[in-house]
Amino acid sequence: MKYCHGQPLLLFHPCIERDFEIRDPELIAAIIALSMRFLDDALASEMKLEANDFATYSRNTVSKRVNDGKIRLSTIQSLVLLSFLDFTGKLLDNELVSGH
Amino acid sequence: MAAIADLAGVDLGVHGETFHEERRRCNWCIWSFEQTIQPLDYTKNMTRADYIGPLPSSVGMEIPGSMAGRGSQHADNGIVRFLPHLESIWSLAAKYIQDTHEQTYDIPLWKKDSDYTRITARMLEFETVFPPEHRSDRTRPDQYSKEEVRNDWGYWTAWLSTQIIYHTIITLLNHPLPVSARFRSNERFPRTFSQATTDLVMLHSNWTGRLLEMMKEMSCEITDPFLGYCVSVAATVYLHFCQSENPSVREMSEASLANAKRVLRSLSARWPVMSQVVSLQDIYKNCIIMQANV
Repeated sequence: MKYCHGQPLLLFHPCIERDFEIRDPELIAAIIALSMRFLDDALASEMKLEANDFATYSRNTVSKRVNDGKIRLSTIQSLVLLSFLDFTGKLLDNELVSGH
Repeated sequence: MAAIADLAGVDLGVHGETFHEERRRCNWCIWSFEQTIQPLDYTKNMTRADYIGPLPSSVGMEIPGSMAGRGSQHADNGIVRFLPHLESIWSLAAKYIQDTHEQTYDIPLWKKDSDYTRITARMLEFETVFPPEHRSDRTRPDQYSKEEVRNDWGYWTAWLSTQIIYHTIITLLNHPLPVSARFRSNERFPRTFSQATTDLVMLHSNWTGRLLEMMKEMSCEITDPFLGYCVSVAATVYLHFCQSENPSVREMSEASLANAKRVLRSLSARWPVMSQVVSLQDIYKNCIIMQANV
C-alpha cells in the first residue's frame, strides 16, 4: 500500500490494511512478491528467490482455481498483480536497446 | 482478462460494499493496463474503446480536508474517476505515435480532420469536465506540509497521475520527432503551427519537470513505472532543448534532464524494464548530438 497503491495499482479498498491476513492465499502471495521489489538493494537481491517462490505459488494457486472453475475476485486481483510483475520485470527487445 | 473481469458469477464473498468497490477497481485496473502498460499492438488498426465500466470511487483518496469547502460551483466528483477518461485519450496519443512510425497517416497535422486535431479536441473536452478543485492552480502538494501529504498520499498519487498523464499527452502530440517526421518536403508547413507545437511541447514538458521537482521537495517517491515512461518522454524533449542556442532554455533543459534522470534511475532500481528505458535515453541522446553536429 505504501509504494504501489495508486502507483499505478488502485485494486484495493483502504480496508485491506486491516483485513490483509484473511484474504485468499494466492492474493497474499502475489502482494508479497510485489512488495519485495521495494526492499533495500542488499535485502532485495538476497530475497529474490523468495519473491519468485511467492509469485510461483500465486500463479499455481490461481491456475488451479481457474481449472476447477472456482474463480473469485481474489483470483482476478492476483492475475492483475502477477501480470504487472511480469511486465515490469521483463527486458525490452534486445535489438531496440542495442540501437541496431 | 477484461471479459473475465466482468466477474459474472464470481463469488464476491460476504463483505458487501468493500468487495463491490474492489470489483469496480479491478475492472478499471485491467482496462487501464491495456491502455497504458500493456505493449500496444495496432497492427490490426484498432483503436481502444473508451472505458464504459463502473467507475471506481475515491474512498481513501478524498481531496485534502483543509482545501474542501472552498467556494465551488462544481460538485467534487472525486479525482480518480477522471483517470479512465484521460487514459482513453492517452491510447489515442500512443496510436498517433505508432501511426507516425509506420507512416500510416495521410492528413497533415494542422488540418481539421487530422488525428492531431481530434486528440486536441478530446483534451479540451477533458478540461471542460475536470473539476477546478483538482487543478494545479487550486490544489498542489506544496500547499501542505510533508506530513500532511504523506497522510493523504492516496489522493496525491491520483493527482500526480492525472497531472503527468495530461502534460505527457500534449508533449507527445507536439514532440519535435513526430512533428518533423510528418512534415513532407513537398508541402508548406504553416509557420504558426510549427511555432505553436514548439511552444506547447516546451510548456508541457516543463510542467512535468516542475511536478518532479515538487515531489522531490516534498520527499515523495514516484514508484509508478508508467509515470516513469511519461518522465522519459519529457526527458527526450529536454534532450532536444539542451542543444538550443538560447542559453536560458539550454540551462533549464539541462536542469530538468538531470531531475528526470534521477527519477528514471530510482525507478530502474525497482522495475527491471525501466533500466532499459534509461539505456534507450542514452541512445536517443547520442542521436540528437550527432544530428546537431551534422
